[in-house]
Amino acid sequence: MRYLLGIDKGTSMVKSVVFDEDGRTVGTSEERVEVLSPRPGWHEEDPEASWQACCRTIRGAIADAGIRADEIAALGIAAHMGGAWIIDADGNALRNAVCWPDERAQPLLTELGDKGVLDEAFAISGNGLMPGITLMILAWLNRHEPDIRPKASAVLCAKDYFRFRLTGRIATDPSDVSFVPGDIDARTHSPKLAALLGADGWDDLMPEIVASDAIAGDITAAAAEATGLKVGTPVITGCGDAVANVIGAGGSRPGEAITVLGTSCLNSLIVDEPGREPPGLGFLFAMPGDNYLRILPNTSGTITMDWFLDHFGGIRTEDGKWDFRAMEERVAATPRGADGVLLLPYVNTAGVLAPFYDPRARGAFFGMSNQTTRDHLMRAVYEALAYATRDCFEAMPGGQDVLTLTGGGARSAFWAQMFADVCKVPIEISTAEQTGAAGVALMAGVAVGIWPDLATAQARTSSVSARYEPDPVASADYDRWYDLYRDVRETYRSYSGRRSELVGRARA
Amino acid sequence: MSYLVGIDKGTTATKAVVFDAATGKVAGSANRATHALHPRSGWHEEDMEVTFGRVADCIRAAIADAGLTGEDISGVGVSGHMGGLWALDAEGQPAGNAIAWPDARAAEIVAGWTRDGKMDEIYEISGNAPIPGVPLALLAWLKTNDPDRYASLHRIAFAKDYINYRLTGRFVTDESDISFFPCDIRKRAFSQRLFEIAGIPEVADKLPDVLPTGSLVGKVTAEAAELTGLKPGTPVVTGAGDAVSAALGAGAVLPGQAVTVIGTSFMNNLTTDRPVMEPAGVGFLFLMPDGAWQKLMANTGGGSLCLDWALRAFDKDRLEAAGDDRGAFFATMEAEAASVSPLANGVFTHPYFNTSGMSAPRFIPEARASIFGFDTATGPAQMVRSVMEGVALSMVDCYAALDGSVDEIRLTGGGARSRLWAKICAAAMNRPLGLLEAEETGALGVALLAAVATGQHPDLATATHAMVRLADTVEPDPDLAAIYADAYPLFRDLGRDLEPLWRKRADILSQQGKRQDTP
Repeated sequence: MRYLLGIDKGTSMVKSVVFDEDGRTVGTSEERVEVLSPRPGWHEEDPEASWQACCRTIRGAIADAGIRADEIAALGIAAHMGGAWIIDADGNALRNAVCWPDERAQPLLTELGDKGVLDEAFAISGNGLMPGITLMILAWLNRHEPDIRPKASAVLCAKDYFRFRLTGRIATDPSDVSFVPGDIDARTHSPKLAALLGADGWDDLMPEIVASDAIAGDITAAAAEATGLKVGTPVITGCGDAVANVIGAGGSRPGEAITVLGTSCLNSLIVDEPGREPPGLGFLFAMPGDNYLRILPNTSGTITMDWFLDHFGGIRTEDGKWDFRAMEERVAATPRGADGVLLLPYVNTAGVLAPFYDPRARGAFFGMSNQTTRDHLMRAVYEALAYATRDCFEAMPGGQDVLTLTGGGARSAFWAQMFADVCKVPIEISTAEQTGAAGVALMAGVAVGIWPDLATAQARTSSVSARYEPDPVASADYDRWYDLYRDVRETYRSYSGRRSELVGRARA
Repeated sequence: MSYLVGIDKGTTATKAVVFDAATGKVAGSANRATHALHPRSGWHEEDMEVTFGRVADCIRAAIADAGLTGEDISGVGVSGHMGGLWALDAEGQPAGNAIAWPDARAAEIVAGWTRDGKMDEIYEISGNAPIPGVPLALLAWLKTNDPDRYASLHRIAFAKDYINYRLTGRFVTDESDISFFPCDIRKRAFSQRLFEIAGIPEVADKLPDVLPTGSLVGKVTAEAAELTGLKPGTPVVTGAGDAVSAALGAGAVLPGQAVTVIGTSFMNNLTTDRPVMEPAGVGFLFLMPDGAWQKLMANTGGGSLCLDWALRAFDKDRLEAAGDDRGAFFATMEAEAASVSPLANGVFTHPYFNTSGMSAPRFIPEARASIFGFDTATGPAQMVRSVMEGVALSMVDCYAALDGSVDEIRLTGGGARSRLWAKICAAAMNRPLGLLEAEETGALGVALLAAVATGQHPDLATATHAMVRLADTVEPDPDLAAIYADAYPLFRDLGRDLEPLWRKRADILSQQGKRQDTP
């Protein structure tokens, strides 16, 4: 029997998963990543500590599967994107890794905004800039830690560092290059963009770009000792986690959309051209093959519901957990549109990143009366996340044929039907779990010939467990409420600056 | 010692209160439910004989509660709900049941005035947008729909006037009550032009004498003394319509004096020396004693109803756990809200929770409440504080729309019992707010009139000074006041920008209407 190993190195968890030839999960192991925050807003990792954690999960997953290491036919790794993992000529980390949530480069980004270069940066890269992208961190190092650059030999993304530790090969792939970021049309690094952002001098240290699904190397003796894997086991290049999640959930063709209904709600659409709409917002990543992944995140995903329940209470089961089944029954008994109660779900203190950019945007309940019950408010929470997803997809170019829902919220049939009715597109629920690990494991399986192509591989792992068609009557109602939602958001949006300044003055 | 009886004859209950004439302290009180009749859907009537029997019983009980007898009572005044139709026939007997102001039978008459473009002229003369329960509309309805009864009406007046008639034998009314006939608000008199607009010019022959508010109507008759326990010959003053007597009892007697009631509803009353017609079509305008007027800016349901909703919506578990012990729960909740920083880190509530929408400072039935500016750090205490602040900012909104100078504001109603809420209101208004001791401001207002009419105080201002007792005065905190002054423009502007959204919401709801099939 042959098995595949997928590693998903996330921001807070590292996870290894063993899949069999039918795509079934047969063993998993995960461990929390130790995040270091030496100063407020900094987000670092000790590369050696994270590597050791990764190694333990590889051993753990193989043990959990009850197989021998030599039964692993190939492996791949997906990881969080952006950030900077810098090594010297001996392969040693020159400093702690800086990861994407890090905010140290925000003042530099503000300077760039003042200089008016963000539009050009977006035109080259297709990505809205964040302080935690690779080039911004390099620009920060140029200014604050100038002794790093002369000692450096390569700038890696997270998955590239771990694959380097596994295989000794220094390389990256087009998806991770997208968020360095680079030239999205050419799918390469962009010295011009690096210079524009103040990250000059690092172009020669950018690794060779290898296809995400190609075999980039094999397990070294040292890695074999550390992980328990067999020396010589093939390792693919791998890809950024956003791309791996889509592949693992079964996405591969233009027109397929995937929404991760999680803490923050990632709305992804596979497109065949690197279109820039809506300008300046969201992300655009190169996918394996010639396609791209356009992503507009709603930063306030299920944290909106968590916020409501944690602060204002809800129905609990006997063992004290939230009884979503009971709450949904009550929500379902209130009319579509919640009798006129709308929620703008902008409760994330980071504000809104898409379909418009406003870090000062905040949430609003609109349209209450003394007849408004908690069931109405809960219904407004459910509907708001569906409206926010429609809002993001409407801003993207190209249509959706189908929307696959994943993440914790996708387990609710009631919510899935609501998404179908609101977004007016069939909703599919994928059975795939561990989509990040599955995405790279599937590509690894194809690379060593277990499956002839990715589509075949995906068909094994990610069968659709449920499909929800839009109900025209419901959609007609939601169209009207969504139209009001848009008006309400525009009105409140026009006050977010005044509100924020007022709060600042009140605090002073 | 001398005592006065103030009677507040209300739509749902009558309350009689015995006051010490020198100090205004309450010596005793009693309640009796009002018996309303609903012969048809939307109709609201009372049997006048039954009503008087209950009032009389209530007076007797209040005197007994005070441990006094009729000998101790030196004057009587009655406050009554306004509007409606209380009529006598030619023999001085009730001409059928009284019709009370909530009666909706004349709704189509009023809607017709709006359709025919008559409303602007009616408002221009009267300063009030009539509701179906005012005499002008009810008489027009009777003339068309019940001509026999219309013909049988010999003399018409109001609720308190019928009580006065049964006490003294004299059927007259006073200026305050004709405000809501409605009348010519500038001339402080009935308006023949309004009767003509309503198609009832012959009503001129059925009108009562109109006495200045606070003059003596007569003395308690032997028969009434028997029924009420009062002494025959006890002076009876005109009393007043309830909106006016409540303002008097809160001390809003002189022009520039105002009272805000945070009850279920939210009312802002200002006494003025001229008829304040702006904002047009909004609020009510009443005639006050001594040639003054009162502008009432009411937001139905904009008061403590908002806080009650917020507690149900955002603090349900603790509210239910508190059960009947709401006092302790409220104290805890209030302390938590007090510890939240002003503006709750930028959470703005527009407090139009009543299903009748906004009635002041603009008339927008489609208006509904909204809460803006929260994030994951926003919890129940922030929401509660924001609701209190939203009501306070809507108070600023109402007074800002009042075209009259304000010298002094008293705060009363259930919401005023919250020290935090009173403090927020005082800061938002940036002026001291007097907190009243007595809750029965309607009964106290007419007792004040009786005190002056019987010579126990030289004038209303003196009587008010002596008898309207302040429990406390809340001073505005300067830092807090500065924050609210900074915040008000956003509240005001956002409220205006929400208007088209409220209307759109109402349109969608009506489109969705009964077609709603599955959830």
